[in-house]
Amino acid sequence: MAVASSDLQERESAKPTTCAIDARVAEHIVVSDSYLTMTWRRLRRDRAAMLGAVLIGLIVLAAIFAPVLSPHDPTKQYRDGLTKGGQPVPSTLVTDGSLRFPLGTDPNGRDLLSRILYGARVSLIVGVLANALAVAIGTFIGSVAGFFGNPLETILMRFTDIMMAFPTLLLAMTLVAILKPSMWIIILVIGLVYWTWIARVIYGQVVALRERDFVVASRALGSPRSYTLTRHILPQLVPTIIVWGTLGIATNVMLEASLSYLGIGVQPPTPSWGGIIQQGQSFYRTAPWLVIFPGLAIMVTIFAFNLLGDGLRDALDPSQKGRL
Amino acid sequence: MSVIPSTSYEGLPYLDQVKIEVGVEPDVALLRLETGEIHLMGDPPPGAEWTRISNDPAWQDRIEIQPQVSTIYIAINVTWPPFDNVLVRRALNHAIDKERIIQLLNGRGTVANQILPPLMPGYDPDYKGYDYNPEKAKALLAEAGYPDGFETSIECIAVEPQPKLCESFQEDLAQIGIKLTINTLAAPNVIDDAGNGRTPLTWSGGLAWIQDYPDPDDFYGPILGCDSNVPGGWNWSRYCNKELHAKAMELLTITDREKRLQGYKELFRALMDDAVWVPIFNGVYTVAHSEKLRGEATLTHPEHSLRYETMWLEQ
Amino acid sequence: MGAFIARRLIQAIPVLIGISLLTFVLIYYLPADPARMYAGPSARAETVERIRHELGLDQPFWVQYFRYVGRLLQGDLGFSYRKQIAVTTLILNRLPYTLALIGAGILVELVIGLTVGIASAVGRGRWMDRLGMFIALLGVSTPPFWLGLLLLYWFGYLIPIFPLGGAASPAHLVLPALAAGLGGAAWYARMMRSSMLDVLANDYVRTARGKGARERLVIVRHVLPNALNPIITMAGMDIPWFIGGVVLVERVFNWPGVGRMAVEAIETVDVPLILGTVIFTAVMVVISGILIDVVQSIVDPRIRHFVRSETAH
Repeated sequence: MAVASSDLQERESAKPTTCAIDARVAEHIVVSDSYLTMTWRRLRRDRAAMLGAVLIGLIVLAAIFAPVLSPHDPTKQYRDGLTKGGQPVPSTLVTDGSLRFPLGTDPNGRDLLSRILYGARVSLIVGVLANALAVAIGTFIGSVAGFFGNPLETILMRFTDIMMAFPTLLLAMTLVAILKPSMWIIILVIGLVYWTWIARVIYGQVVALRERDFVVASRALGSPRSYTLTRHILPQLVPTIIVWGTLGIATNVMLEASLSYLGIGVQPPTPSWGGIIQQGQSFYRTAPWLVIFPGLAIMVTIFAFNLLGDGLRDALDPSQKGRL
Repeated sequence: MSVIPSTSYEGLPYLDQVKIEVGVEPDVALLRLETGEIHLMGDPPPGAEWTRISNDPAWQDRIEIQPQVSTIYIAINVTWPPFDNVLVRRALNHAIDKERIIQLLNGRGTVANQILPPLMPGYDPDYKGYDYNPEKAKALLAEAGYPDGFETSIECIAVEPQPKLCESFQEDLAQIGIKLTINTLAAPNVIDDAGNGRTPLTWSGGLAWIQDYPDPDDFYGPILGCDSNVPGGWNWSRYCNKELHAKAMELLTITDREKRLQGYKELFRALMDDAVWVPIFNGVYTVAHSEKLRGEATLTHPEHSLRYETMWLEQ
Repeated sequence: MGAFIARRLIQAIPVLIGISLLTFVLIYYLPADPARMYAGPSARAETVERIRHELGLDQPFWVQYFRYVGRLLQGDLGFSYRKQIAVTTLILNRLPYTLALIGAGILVELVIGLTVGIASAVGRGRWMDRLGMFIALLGVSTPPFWLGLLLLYWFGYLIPIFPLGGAASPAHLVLPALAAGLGGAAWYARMMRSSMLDVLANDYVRTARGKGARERLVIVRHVLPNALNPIITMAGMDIPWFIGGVVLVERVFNWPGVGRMAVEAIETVDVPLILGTVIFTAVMVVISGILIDVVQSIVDPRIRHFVRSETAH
């Protein structure tokens, strides 16, 4: 990507681009306590980021306390959860003012609110763990390629290019279908298809860093290369990793929901947001709540991680403030 | 696709041409029926809309409801442990809440307690079958040596409403400690796997079994007899009882109707004792059409074939 | 120009080899046995062995790989187990629908995205900008399949302006194109705004303004051409992601394209069809990457003089 004005290649939510923090900027960032304090102060003042953090907090709480918050067992199919004609029941708050099924029921007569609350668990676990895996792979490949130079550099970055040519969702679909869907397989597959973007960003930064004085000095003093990499270079990558660790979750929540929507996500009876939409979509005209509420949950979750991720990027790198 | 009648035949048909469109989703087809774009739906009206249209007076003479000579069932692969144990198979029969399935089908079906459907000669109105009784099911599992249940799987086709029904089985079996995995596949894959003994349980919804010929043998020979227990055969229970099979072969040769039907009653009771299936429901065939379309009293035959030659459009 | 295109094509070769190798590894180590699949479930063991031999499946890895590449070069992606038709034929039959959807979707992305992005950048900091960017962030957070279902509900059912699914007329294309394109439009809006602000901060823009040029003229003459440049580069990154959205949208709208076929292939465990689709789309991504570079080199001829490296940042 030598030709693009590099600071534009910022990674944004949901769609992989490169570079959360510009390599140029990384040069003047010294990760220290005061830097982190400053960052935290800037973040505190960013109302959008704080909104994102609060929303994430609420979603995490909903996931942890789902058993307490849910009015019902999310897999229990209630007799009164279907109408006489076998249709899903609309919100009982609206129909008779009771709290029986606050958001209505699904086509099997299960409580939708309980299923959405429990569904937060799948989305968050997959989103966070798959992204942790992707960031780990991406950081490893990007930093090794950038720091050790050829031939590793060419091999690893060409491999990254090849992986990037595969459409993300299509590749994930194929791998999940071949390996048989389960939550751990989905985490593994999303991690394996999503690391490429992170590898590119990290690589770009490490290439810029490897010529810097403190790195050259460390090498000149005879430190082993691995020591220089872990002690001098990796700390410089922390801001990028933090930003990607947040924004990438948004993307991975979207990928998980998409796979579940296609029926190759977490398997029933475990509720997942994409799966609820898939099961309810044939009712989209007569029972639109089956599509609307789980979709809102997906959107708000992704939105929250995007808000916080944007805010973190601005806070960690003030020169970019207000640009996106 | 267009069907144009042959000119060499007098009288029937009344229609000059029939245009058949394939690959239209049922909910889209229903809306097009409402707007008058089409005259007849090939699929039954979708479950999400059925309650609305069946309760709407304006629809009364535009939908036809016909009992279908069919039994829809869970085939239990008797060669697959632990289903090689008849107690486990009987436990399954007590565990499924069939009323719930009828409700999930918007009432388009009746609970089945035996292999033959009520409209088939040989149907045994005195047979009571297995009642819905999770406690008894649990006791049977314990007796069979599975007090804590076990894990198993069922194959279902990926067409509504089948996955929903399988989720209902999943919930029912969870109550007696059986952890059921649902494998949702396309119809040819389910038929392949079930016909080659690659799945412990098979949900026949959307696939089988609707009568081919009005004789009780149709519910034994092709789907439970030894001759159909071959690779690729429709004997999804992978069941072959030599003794019963000999009796069934004998029944084919009996000409006395009463004696023969009595023989079938005994045969099917024995099969139910062996619990080779969980019979779930007998189907109801529904079809929606425009008010202009008229034809044979019901437009359909019990074998769910549409008889275009008997239809006409009112101007 | 010719030399530039030639160089880009040569650069694409290792990527294409890599794609073929990775997909072959998947085929080779797959739990499903192709010989058994072709022979059919009721075939005898000897028949399966004979087919294995005829298909060359008993040969070593590299022999099989080179034969595989040879077939790929002839456009042979294998045979669908289920449909018993060549995968290439199946894909080509569906391709026009998918290309129509991709074209219309990209149009939605660019027209809406760039307009909003430019308007936001010009009115930076005002409420329009803030609202626009808020909606854009919501937009990038919205799953395309959900958006598709909402559009169906609103504009197909509540206010029945558009048909509900299928591909019988151009009107059928409107809702799917919006569902596939609006998320990307939101992304381009954010990118365009950011790119514009970058250019606006440059000295030559200040100079132009200082000379008293009218703001509109400055924007059209100086800012837009430069701001668009990086956007073209980003279109290359957008495509692999955009295709995923197209797969989902085809599913929602029952659109008879390659994406829906891929989803059906997964339901029927039709491995050659699934992998054929994956290889095909990956090659399309590589080709579209080259096309984008060519377009960019026309817009900005300086690029041709760079020795372009895929991996350099």
